[in-house]
Amino acid sequence: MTTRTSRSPRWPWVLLAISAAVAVTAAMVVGPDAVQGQLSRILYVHVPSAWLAFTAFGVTMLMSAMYLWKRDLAWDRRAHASAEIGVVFTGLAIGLGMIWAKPTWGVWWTWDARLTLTAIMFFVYLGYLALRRTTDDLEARAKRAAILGVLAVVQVPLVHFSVVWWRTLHQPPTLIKPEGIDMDASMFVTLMVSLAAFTTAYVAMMYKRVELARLEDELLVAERSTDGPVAGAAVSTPSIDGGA
Amino acid sequence: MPSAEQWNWVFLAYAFTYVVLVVFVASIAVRINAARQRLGADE
Repeated sequence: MTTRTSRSPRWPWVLLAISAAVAVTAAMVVGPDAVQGQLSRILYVHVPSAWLAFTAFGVTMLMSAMYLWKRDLAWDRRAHASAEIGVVFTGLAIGLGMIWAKPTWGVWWTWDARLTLTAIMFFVYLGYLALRRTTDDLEARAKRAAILGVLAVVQVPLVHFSVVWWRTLHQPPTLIKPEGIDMDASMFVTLMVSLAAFTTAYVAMMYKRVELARLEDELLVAERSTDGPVAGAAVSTPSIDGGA
Repeated sequence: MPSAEQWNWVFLAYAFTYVVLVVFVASIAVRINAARQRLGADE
């Protein structure tokens, strides 16, 4: 077991706070959209949340593939960390989409192709996290999770192109399309600032979440070697004969 | 929809984002501290 005596660095949290403050300020200062009005400000958090979810699941796929190739648990920990963050960003994108949809469409939710596929992706990656809890064997857990991590990423292009392939209530892509960017320059800059802030948040979260995954693995190995939980191992169980 | 009402939805969205991210980041910090204490490596 490796023990670490240094305290966890705080720079990721500081970086995260600064980037969030800059992004929120930009989103509040930029002018409203001509059609959507002030509601367009919700898109500066909704769109980056969805993009970072895609990025996180893409990273999970890459890290999973690296684990299957190298069989090094460090890759598995990175895949796990990125998947958990991706689930949070997906939940955030869905929640923010609902908050935007209610005043815009008049409903919180509709079984539109984009929304339905995003919900399925959310539950599949929740399944990925649940799968990791089915065994304490680090290698078996990593192998199972890596296979699912590689396969599940197919949903990312499905979700992205769903608004192109099917007739949906959700609007088609505004930025990533062959005709180029169809957006006012000030709104585009604000969206990019927000995207940079969310990316910074993702990097900071990854740094800390990977550290947590490493500690959890060390704890699992320690518990296995002591044949029980580490905490309380020094406390002897009371017995009838006085514990002699 | 009046602009003031639209702002209410905007604030709801940003409050939701804030709560989700803070709770997640706090959960990471709490779990790191708990793991470090259980490993006996916390200073």
